[in-house]
Amino acid sequence: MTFTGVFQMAITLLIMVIAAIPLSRYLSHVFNGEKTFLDFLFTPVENLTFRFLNVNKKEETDWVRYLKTGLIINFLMLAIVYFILKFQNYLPFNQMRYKGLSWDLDFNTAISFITNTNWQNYGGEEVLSNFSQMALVFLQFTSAATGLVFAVAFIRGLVRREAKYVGNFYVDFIKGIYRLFLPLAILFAVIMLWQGAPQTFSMQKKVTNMTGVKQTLSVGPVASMTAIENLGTNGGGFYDANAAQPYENPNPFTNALIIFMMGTIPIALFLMYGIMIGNKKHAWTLFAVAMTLIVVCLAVIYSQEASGNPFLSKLGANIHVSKNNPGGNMEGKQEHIGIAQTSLFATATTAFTTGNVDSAHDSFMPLSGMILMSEMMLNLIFGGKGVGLLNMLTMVIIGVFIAGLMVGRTPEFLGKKIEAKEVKLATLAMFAHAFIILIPFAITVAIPAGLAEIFNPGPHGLSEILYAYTSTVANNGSAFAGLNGNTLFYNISLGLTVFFGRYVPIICQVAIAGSLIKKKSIPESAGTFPAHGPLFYAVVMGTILLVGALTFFPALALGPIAEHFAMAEGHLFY
Amino acid sequence: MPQKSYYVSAFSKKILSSAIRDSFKKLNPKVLIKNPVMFVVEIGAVITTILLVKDLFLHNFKFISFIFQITIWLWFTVLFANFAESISEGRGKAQADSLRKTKTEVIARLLKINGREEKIKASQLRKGDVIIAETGDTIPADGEIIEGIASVDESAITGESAPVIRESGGDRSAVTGGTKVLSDKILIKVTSNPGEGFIDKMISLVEGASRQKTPNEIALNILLVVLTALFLVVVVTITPMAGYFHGYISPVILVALLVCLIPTTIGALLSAIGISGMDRLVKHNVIAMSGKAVEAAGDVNTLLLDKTGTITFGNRMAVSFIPAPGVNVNELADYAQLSSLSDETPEGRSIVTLAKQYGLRGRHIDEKNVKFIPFSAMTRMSGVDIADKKESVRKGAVEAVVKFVEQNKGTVDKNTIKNAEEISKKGGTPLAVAINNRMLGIIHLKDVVKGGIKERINSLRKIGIKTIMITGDNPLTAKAIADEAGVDEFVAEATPETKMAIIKKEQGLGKLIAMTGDGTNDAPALAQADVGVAMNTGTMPAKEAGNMIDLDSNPTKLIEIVEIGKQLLITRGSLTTFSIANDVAKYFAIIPAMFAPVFPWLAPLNIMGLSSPGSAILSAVIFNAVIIIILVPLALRGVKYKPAAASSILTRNLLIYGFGGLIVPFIGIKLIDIIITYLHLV
Repeated sequence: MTFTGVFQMAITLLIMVIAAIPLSRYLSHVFNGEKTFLDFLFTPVENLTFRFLNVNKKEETDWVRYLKTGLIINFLMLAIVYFILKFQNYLPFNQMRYKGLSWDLDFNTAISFITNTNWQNYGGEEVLSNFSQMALVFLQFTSAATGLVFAVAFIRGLVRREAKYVGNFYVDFIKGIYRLFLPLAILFAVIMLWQGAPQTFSMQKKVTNMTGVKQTLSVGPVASMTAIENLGTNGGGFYDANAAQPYENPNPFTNALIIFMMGTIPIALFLMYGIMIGNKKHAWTLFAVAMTLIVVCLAVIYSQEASGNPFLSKLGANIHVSKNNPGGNMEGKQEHIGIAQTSLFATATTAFTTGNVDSAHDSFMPLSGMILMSEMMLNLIFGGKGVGLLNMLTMVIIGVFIAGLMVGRTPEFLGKKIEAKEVKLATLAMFAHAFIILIPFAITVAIPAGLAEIFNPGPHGLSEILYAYTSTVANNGSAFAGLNGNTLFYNISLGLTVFFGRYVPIICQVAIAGSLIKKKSIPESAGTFPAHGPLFYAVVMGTILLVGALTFFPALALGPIAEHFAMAEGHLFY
Repeated sequence: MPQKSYYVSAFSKKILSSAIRDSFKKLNPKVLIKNPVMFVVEIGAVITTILLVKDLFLHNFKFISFIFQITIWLWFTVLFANFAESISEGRGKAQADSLRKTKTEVIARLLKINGREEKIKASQLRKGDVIIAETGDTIPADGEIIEGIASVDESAITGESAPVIRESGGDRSAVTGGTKVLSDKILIKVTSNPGEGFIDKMISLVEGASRQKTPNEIALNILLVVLTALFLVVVVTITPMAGYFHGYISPVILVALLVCLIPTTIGALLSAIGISGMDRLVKHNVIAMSGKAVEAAGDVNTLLLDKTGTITFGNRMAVSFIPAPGVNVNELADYAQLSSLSDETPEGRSIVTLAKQYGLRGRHIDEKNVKFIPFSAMTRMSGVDIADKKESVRKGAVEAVVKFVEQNKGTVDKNTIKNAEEISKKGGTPLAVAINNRMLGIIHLKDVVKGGIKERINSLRKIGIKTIMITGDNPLTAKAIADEAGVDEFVAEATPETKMAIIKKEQGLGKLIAMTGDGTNDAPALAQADVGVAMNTGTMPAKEAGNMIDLDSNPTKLIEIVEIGKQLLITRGSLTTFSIANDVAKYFAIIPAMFAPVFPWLAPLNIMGLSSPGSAILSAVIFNAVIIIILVPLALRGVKYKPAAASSILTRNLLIYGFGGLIVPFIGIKLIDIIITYLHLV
């Protein structure tokens, strides 16, 4: 570990937080329907869209209608993209004449992109036409907006009292895309373009390299995809190798920029929540919980990676940091990015559930691998667009319920009583998350179709499978390489876990909003325990660690923890 | 204060032995399924029992001692949980029994329409019948006096031995079956059918026969069920994971892990906590109509307190004598006492008492010479005429006494009038005393606030409860009392409708309201309030409208009721937290032990240094069972509760039950491991 390394990480995180503050203010104005400085630009375009869609922007609906509309639109888009990928050979921008995807890979890919997961069982540049890539980009916008607006609906459930209507899905959805994702995507696409990412409709470029060898480069609309891929915490890159491919991530600056793109909006959403509910202190406390988790995870990963594999040291490799030696565990990492920024990237991509990778997570030290998985198992360290906040609030509801009883009142959260219905839905959302990871995982390690595709034997192989299901259920999409996912079994099983991992918790959470919105709000008194400050922090953190994380302990014990101790004992699996 | 309470100690021999019997009866799956967490434990115990029997038949004795011990402790876990519930129920049953004894078959004297009297069994009485009760009769059923007045011994219900007056009309017309007429004769219209009377209701409430789960209990149960399901998933996935390493984990160990992980501690104690919460109310001679009401009491945001009876004693008392210019204070005290000697009202007695402080003892008066003038609403004065001294002493409303002095050609100086006005302004009542044409001065009467009430209201404020005092007094008087008692708000010149209006207003703000009441005109408000405590001396409509009845009829008790409600919720939350926090240590005991044959490198996870895999698992299971029994007294007694701000209560409980819940099992499991190893049990 070096001072420069720590400094790099700290400054990146700090800039994200600083940028998130004004962004959160802007977003709260957008979703509260208040004036913003960009109204002159967006209002006319929005009105045109609403007229075209025949949407009355003043009409609001209850949570059932809101949820239904959102889900139907999601499934519709899913079908459209499925057919685009299936029949890409009949569609434009396919100079390479790539064939349509096999049905199972297509199923997996389409579901993966509509759910903001972007698990990729294909190598983008080798199987997808530019039209197909752009169809996926379309989903990268809409899936991010979907998560975001459900979170907005939830917030309204907390804010509004004795009400019924949570908002208008179409209006929120369009606003999210027009006023947040589109402008930022354009801005960052231009920056990526400037930094060297390709942006073209042609699919290949033939060049002669420095040694005189002729080479064919895969190109396409890369810069634009990279922007929304990260801004929408999607994580599905143009290239197979995602940000480990230099066209997607040309230099250390873009590496930091990508981290910035991934994290700023999720952080801003936490703060936006604080503004919308009128309790900024509460939101900052949740921010502190998530930030603590990030910093702890980062510290473990960075220290593990920086100290490297003791085995290599025994074999005579020099893993100490020096001027010309990055030291530590450099396997699967890029020289020009280095251990510090790679550690931050890996922490960020799992915390913000983006899934974009700039290194091989498979090659990380066992405990680093465990941390990466844990971040996705929690799925609330700022998390993906909207859903991270939703998951955090789900845990908060469970925590407030238990702790609230301890002050001698029916638990209240922001003035609203937490009763049987909310507890049922919140615990169900939490249960679904664990169930959908653990059960398919257990089935997979028990059947030949599952075991056939792992790369490493022993605990690492177990980790590979566990990582896959964790990543898909958390809608992260990053992979612990090693596992070959493009088989009928994995395409279907991972596709299904992606699907249920996304929608079951969301349905529960929006239903909570529907239940909360009807309630009266009880004014705060000395008898209600404050939803901010160190005590609340301890309650939320305790709930996350005891209720949210303990579930995964046995699986982690046999995977990364076992690998770690075996390594310490000098035992290898190969 | 009650001379007698229906409260029975939980740990009497009789209750203990019947609780132990019931613990076994409750093993019946049909009964146990109501408690899903313990039901899962029972299924686990059945599984290990079957495996134990199987091994016995197969002569597979290698692990038989281990399996036997695990099985035994799993059954103990279920039994301990059943015991916790039984013992809390047992107390209720014992209380009900002692109530039932008061309910003997009596003969009712039915008054027929033709005016004749007929003796029938009380169980044949129906609603609407008219009965006669005379000195010495036990009133056979609940009813309302339609004619007459009687003193009634209600000790059967209240435990209070002093008789109370019951009379037709007004707020004191209700009588309860099982009470006894001590004097006079009354006609009673029966208001309840046999088996539906007040005592019957009380018996079934105390016994817990009509116990329903409260909203918070239901919510908590959901949490516990989901956690159980979650850990079931965790345990189920272990077999294939071990299979991945070509290992095998015995179902006995999986069952042991499952039982340790699911929240058995709170699952076992949950209903005991609820039942004993109701019990604590009974201990305070309060009967709650439902557990929901007890819980609501914990949630209350606002208390409506009647000034009279709750905040003040309800009687004005003399606090000082203010003599007119030129009059000695002793003289004033002397005549004030004289004029009050025959005044049996509390005010009159308080004047006599105050006069004693001036060295004046009660004196003998020659009754031939003295004529007592009683108070009348017309004259607004009372007093004495002493014939031989030609003295007429008068005491009463200031204007009336001034008029009396002026009629006797005397004059009243301005100072005295001013003093009287001053007292009125401070919320007191001035009484003037005069003899013939001489104004002697003013007695200052004051509504005296009950001792300690200010501190209690302060502690209520600390826990975020607003107090509103309601009184029919004028705003001046009301303000003086409100200031003295330290209530947050007061409403003066209140009418019966005022309470209803305040309740609706506060409820509109999302608050929960508690109040006490006794009169028929309180009934609508009692019904509307979230916690309505009816006084037992109150009318039937009031008792029916409230969701609690205070047998002692002491309105101040509302504050205790709130505290009991809070304590109930705190106990539940604390034990839940404790139960969940325990899982960390259990994981660290069982996981390395369980995986030892599969993946020996996990040994460093055995941070407690438990001696062997077998003893580690057994220790965790034993700890899990024993902790239930250890916590039974806490569940019955409730977690300690001192009024304080929510954050400080939470800090305390988080430290004790959250942090403690993390640490205690580490120590406990280690200790059990040491004992087991020492005894060579594994």
